[in-house]
Amino acid sequence: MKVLIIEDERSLLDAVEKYLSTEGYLCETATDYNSALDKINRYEYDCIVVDITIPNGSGLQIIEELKRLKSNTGIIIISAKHSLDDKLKGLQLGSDDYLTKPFHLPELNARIQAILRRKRFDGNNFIVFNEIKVDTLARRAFVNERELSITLKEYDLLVYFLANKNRVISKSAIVEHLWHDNIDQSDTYNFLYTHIKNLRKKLLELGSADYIQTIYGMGYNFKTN
Amino acid sequence: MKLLNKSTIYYLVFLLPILLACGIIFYFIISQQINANADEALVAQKKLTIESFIVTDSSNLHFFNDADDDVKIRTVQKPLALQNYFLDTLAYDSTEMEMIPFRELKSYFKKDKKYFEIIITRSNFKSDELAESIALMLAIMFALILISFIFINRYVSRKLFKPFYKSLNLLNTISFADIKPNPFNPSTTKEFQELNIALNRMTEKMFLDFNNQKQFTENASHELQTPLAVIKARIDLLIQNKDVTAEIMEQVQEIEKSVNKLSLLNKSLLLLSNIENKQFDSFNPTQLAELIDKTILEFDEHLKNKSISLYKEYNFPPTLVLNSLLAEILFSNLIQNAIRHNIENGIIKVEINNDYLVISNSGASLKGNEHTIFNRFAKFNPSVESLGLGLAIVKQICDYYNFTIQYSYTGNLHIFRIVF
Repeated sequence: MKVLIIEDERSLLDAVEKYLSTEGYLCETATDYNSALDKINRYEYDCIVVDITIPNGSGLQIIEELKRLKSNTGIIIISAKHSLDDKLKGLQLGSDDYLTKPFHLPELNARIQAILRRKRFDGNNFIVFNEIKVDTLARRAFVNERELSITLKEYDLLVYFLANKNRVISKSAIVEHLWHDNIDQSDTYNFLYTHIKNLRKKLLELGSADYIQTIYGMGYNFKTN
Repeated sequence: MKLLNKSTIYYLVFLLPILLACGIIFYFIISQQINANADEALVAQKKLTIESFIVTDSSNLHFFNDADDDVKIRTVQKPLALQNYFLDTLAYDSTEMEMIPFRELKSYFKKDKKYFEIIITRSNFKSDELAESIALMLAIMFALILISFIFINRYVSRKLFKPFYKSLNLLNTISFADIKPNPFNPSTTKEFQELNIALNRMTEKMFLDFNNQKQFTENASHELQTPLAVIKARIDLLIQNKDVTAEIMEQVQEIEKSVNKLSLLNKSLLLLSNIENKQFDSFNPTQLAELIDKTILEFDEHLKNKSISLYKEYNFPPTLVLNSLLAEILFSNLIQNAIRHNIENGIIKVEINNDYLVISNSGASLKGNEHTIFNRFAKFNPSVESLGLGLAIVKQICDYYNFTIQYSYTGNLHIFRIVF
């Protein structure tokens, strides 16, 4: 799986690259418009993570170029711009997703996986992991072919964990993923605890292994080994 | 009041004394003319009378005096100068049954070495009647001018002021987010042409300033968000490290909390300036009841957590044309506020009517000046964790859409009322 990360802030680029590499992606990087343009013209990528504000050009121009090349690459914009114009423009040009900085790495990872799932397996909307199977189209989850009776939040939580297996995910990252941007986070930490508890209980009830581990003081880990 | 109506009033106010003066001048000219005519006639009659008097028997004065009421001839001892004297008198007219003005000619002549005085009178025009007809004429003139002014104004305002209204309309609807160069079209009227040139210059300047400001906000955002993104991403990487102890994890979590607060703060301030700069110009019809129900659903856990009872009263909820993001933020902030400052087992009432919305919640009264409730960073309850920007954003969005928002506290309820 080849991913190109276009970002001019080296420290951020480095962090993204490290996180995605351990997920098993083959990561390439570009820090300005020209090198990015050069790379997309020379190689095929499964997914491109592109910042809008880059030296010597714009991330939007990169997307235009990709569309001109009739590339089937998944595109995800990461931008510090809160500006709605850019978001709309990016999505209109054919980007698949838009993530506003600052973001959590597990969030970026989950979004990339969702794009790849849509792009790669046409019509296949199942995530299968051991005894757990998720139908992303119907938003239903199964353990050993028996359907889990879970709430929407618990479903989202499960998919998020499956995308970030064997990673320590901070509570803040999960809260940001599960709740709306505008919602006050102070109470949501308590709600998160309840959701995790319920999901774990329901998974165990249907005979799933105990994957969800609490990392004291920080968050959770969906441990598979 | 329309400019043309105002100018018409001024015209009429100035026209009135002019017409009056004209009337007075008319009166004098016409009465002089009439007098002159009367005098000429009197002189002619005098000449005829004297001629006939000279050829007849002069001893019989009665004959003349009786034959014509208007002519009086009598002998005088000592004549005054032999010339015509004109004067105005009043005399009783039996047919008209009133005193009427007469023009009188008094003159002297000589016959057979005797002097005679001749007085010829002639009923004169009535000055009040003349004044009346002149006044009537002027009144008709004034009325005609008034009516024609109204019609001319209507025509002129349609034709002459067309470019002005066009510019005004454009000025009212212009959006700086999407402006074309020189939006104000040239006009053949010199004044409007100058106005449009000035407006074009002004909008260009404003557009430039607007863009500079927008650029600045965006740059500031970029500059701040990027280091925040680095910190966040680095924390995500750091916690993957197996050597990190639980104690360090706790420290890291505290750092992360502050970073989250910082990025929320930055985001809120940016949002405020974005609304201020009116950078939200895409909008679509929003069904208010639907949107509020959706928002309330998002806060379901928060409501249950505090055991808050929700009362809805929807009477003819309207469909408003709003920017979807702003609408979401507006109601989300209001509901969040109503939950955050609520008490355990409290209530929230949502009332939607066609032209207003009321969201009220139970809670302790404010400690502080309630007029500052919509100010940025206004905090009334230090125990509640909040940035103090939520209601400032609400106010800003309401201002953006010309909604009025009012806050009041009655019966242990905080009441926010938005009139669309």
